[in-house]
Amino acid sequence: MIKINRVLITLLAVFSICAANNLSTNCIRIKSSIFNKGVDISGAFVPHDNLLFGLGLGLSSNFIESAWNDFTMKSMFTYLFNNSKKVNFPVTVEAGFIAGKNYDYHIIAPYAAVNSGIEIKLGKNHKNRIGIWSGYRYGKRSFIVNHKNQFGDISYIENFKVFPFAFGISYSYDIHPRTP
Amino acid sequence: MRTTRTICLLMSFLLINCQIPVLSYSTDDLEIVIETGSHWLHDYPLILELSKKNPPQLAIWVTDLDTNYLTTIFCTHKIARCAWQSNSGNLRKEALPFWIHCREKKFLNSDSNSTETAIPTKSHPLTDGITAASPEKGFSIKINSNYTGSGFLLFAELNHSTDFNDYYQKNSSPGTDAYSGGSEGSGQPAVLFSCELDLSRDELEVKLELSGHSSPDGNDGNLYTDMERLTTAKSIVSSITVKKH
Repeated sequence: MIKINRVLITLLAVFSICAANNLSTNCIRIKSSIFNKGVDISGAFVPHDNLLFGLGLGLSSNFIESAWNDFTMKSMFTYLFNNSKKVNFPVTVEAGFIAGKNYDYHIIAPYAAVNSGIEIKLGKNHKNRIGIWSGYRYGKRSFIVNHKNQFGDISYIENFKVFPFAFGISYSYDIHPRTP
Repeated sequence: MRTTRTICLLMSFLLINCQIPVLSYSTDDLEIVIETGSHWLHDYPLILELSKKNPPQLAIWVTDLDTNYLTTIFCTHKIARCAWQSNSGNLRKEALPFWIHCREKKFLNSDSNSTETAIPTKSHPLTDGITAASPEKGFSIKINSNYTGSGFLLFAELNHSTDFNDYYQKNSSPGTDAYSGGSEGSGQPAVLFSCELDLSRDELEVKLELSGHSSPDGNDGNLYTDMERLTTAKSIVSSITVKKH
């Protein structure tokens, strides 16, 4: 598991650096999603019509208390198939981490995801897009939980796993900075 | 450049925090080892023909030699927090009835200011032991005990939801021996493992014995030794062992 987590974190670093290095592109796409486990908002830079590098923040629910109180942060890379048409097919690879909180503990766990879906461009300028998507997420972290009671000190290794299946709807808007 | 450096520092921090933890044991520490059986994961029905693999609900607790409840060592989240997914307010006492009735004897005699209850609820969850998600595979628990009594009994009770068989059916009528909470109930009753331990012994390695099963509908805290009607419930674990380091 430690090797997989290192790969996820490396992916997160690569996507984040790519996003940071594309700050000078002339189009930013703001996207918000509601999915089965939470909500997130991201900003992506569009260096090429079919490519996006982005960073996102969100809230999700990953524990049994079903509360959306787990903070998520991610970076991602998206390729848009059929982008020249009104209906296109984005495929996104993302890597991030979940700062999870439940009744008994707080943890930080890296995760990666692959999502695909359908987007429809709206409006005359095609600045607005709505879409549906689904994907698979992987993330795992083990940590020691301690508890003290009248019998003594008890320790146990807890395993946190990100819920693997995600599906949701999204809305995005393209921001074109004004040129002087 | 500054952004890239910040990102690299953050990633380094995350990498350092991804070490796999290991429980380290000192002299006189106890280790409880649960080895899973062939039926540790049970197909819990979702919708249509879809199901998901669920590990069992589990409680491990200790009593004195007169079976007076002392404390819980470990308990899974759903019963420790009454976090059942489709119980419609039912506390599901048929899940781990021997453990619940063992606790009842203590809480009936305790002072009225105590906020803990025999059956944990959402507003009064279990507080005296580790609560955790049901493990999907075998695991260990480490105890550094300060118990000073001459000996104690260790119990482990396990149960699957909707674990029906030819005798414990989902449409069994209430009041019959085969009733175990209806279509969302247990099916086969919880199984109970136990052993007696004496911490004064230098060397200690004891395997918990399968003592019997609990009440199918959870209405009493009796131990039933007729195991012939249980099928897959007897294969939830292959062994539970306690050893002293």
